[in-house]
Amino acid sequence: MSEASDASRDWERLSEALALIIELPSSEQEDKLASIAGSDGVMRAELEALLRAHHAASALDAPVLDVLSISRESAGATLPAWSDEVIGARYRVLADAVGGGHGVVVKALDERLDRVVALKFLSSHLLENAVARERFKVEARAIASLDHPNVCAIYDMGDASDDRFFISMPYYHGETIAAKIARGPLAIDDAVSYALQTARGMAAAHARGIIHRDIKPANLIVTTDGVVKILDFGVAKLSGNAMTAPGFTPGTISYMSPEQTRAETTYTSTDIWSLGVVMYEMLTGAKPFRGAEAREVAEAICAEEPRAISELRADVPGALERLVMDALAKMPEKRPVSAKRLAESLEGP
Amino acid sequence: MADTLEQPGPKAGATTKGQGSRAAIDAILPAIYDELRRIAHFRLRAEQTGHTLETTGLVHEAYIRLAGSERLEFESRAHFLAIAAQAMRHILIDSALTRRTQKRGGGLRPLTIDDLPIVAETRSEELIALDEALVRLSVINERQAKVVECRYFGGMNIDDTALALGISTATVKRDWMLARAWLNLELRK
Repeated sequence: MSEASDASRDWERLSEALALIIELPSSEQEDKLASIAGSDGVMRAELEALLRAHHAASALDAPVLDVLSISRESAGATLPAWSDEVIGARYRVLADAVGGGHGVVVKALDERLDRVVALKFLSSHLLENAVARERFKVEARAIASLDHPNVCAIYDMGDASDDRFFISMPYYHGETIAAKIARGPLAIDDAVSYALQTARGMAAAHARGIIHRDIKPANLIVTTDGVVKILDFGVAKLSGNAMTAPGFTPGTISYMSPEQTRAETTYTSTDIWSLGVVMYEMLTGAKPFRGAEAREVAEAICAEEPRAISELRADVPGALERLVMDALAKMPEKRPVSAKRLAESLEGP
Repeated sequence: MADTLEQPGPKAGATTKGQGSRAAIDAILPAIYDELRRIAHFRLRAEQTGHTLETTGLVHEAYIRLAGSERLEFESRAHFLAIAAQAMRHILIDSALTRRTQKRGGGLRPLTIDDLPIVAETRSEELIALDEALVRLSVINERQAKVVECRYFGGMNIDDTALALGISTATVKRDWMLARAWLNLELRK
């Protein structure tokens, strides 16, 4: 019993110290830690480990329901009639659907061309929303106009019999960068290669006036051949075509640019910021801006400097770290001037 | 292994007020289970997008269904939420432990409600490790462990967690941050 209460007192002491350290800007945390620990080497080591653990990604950051297995057995007896359904007189649904972004994606066989495709549907609860429907069509046309190895292609679009609207896309074998990050920081060469390919795909889109606005690890798939495909231009809009209603803030908060969190007008520079966040996370395994709630994350994005990459990972080259930090400049005009320029910098001298 | 569920973590708590809490958890298990199944069903039908899959939504659905129920009485919505977080933890850990038993080829341990494979096989070990670490945390700081239970297993936001545990939002934030760091470290040992 006394052992437990000793442990309890120790943790209380560490808790108080850690709380004091964490609330400081990251540049001052080291000094504070040193002054609190003083000559107590054990406490110092424990606090340093806790501080690193605080800055690292945690399983607790994802919703608990992510651990659920979604299988036919767990869904109970009343199975949907998706499988084997023929969509648009051409696509036979092969596999269970998965939700994603603003739509739903199923694996299907294109019976006309005898190839496997992914069909993305506009979610039924958005179906009656004319704005969402129009957004979906604009997205499809915008991506179809692109022909770039790092942007997911569009084959076709159409209406299913029950008024669902869909686009067909290649079915890629591989995994998302989100899945890779979940296993820990990436090898530096891989992180640079994925960032470079993403920047090239973005540059091609930007050249046609298409801004992605939702660049995040879950939207970047790496095929088994190591090729990055940017997925889900679900919130993309044509530049100058003001389709986004005021105050509408699509995207995932952690990857949003400061101007996006404030629902201001965004330009191609917003994608550069988001890629900067993805790069930071690929290199360190941790998100640069965090908070217990969306509002706190947004505050961190707008006001806080992320912890230096070199503090989290010693082997990241200085030039690469500077490039990531440039992309994370709060002022859009301070970021690399274009995705093309960012790609050139990543290619090296 | 099933003993994990009988340890102090899920049982004790600021708002469960000792006796009757076990009965309260047992009473809402079926409703939470039904909601989990419904969510699995919707995911498979894939007619819904992310927001329906959040724990908060699930717990609120269960609350709406049970709020008018005569067999249950909760002091408040906050009280219900705290119980629901424990119930979620109970169901998920139970499911993960069943996965482990099955994998080791042991005899099938009967599940509390029915036989649904709720937790993905690939995630069950990490969930069990988290639960065990949370039990250890509750020994050195019970309140911090309760905060994690509410926020992670119950999907509750900071305000609701503060209400459920009868503490300030500042304390919830601080406890969450500290517990998160502690668990991160503990799970890497």
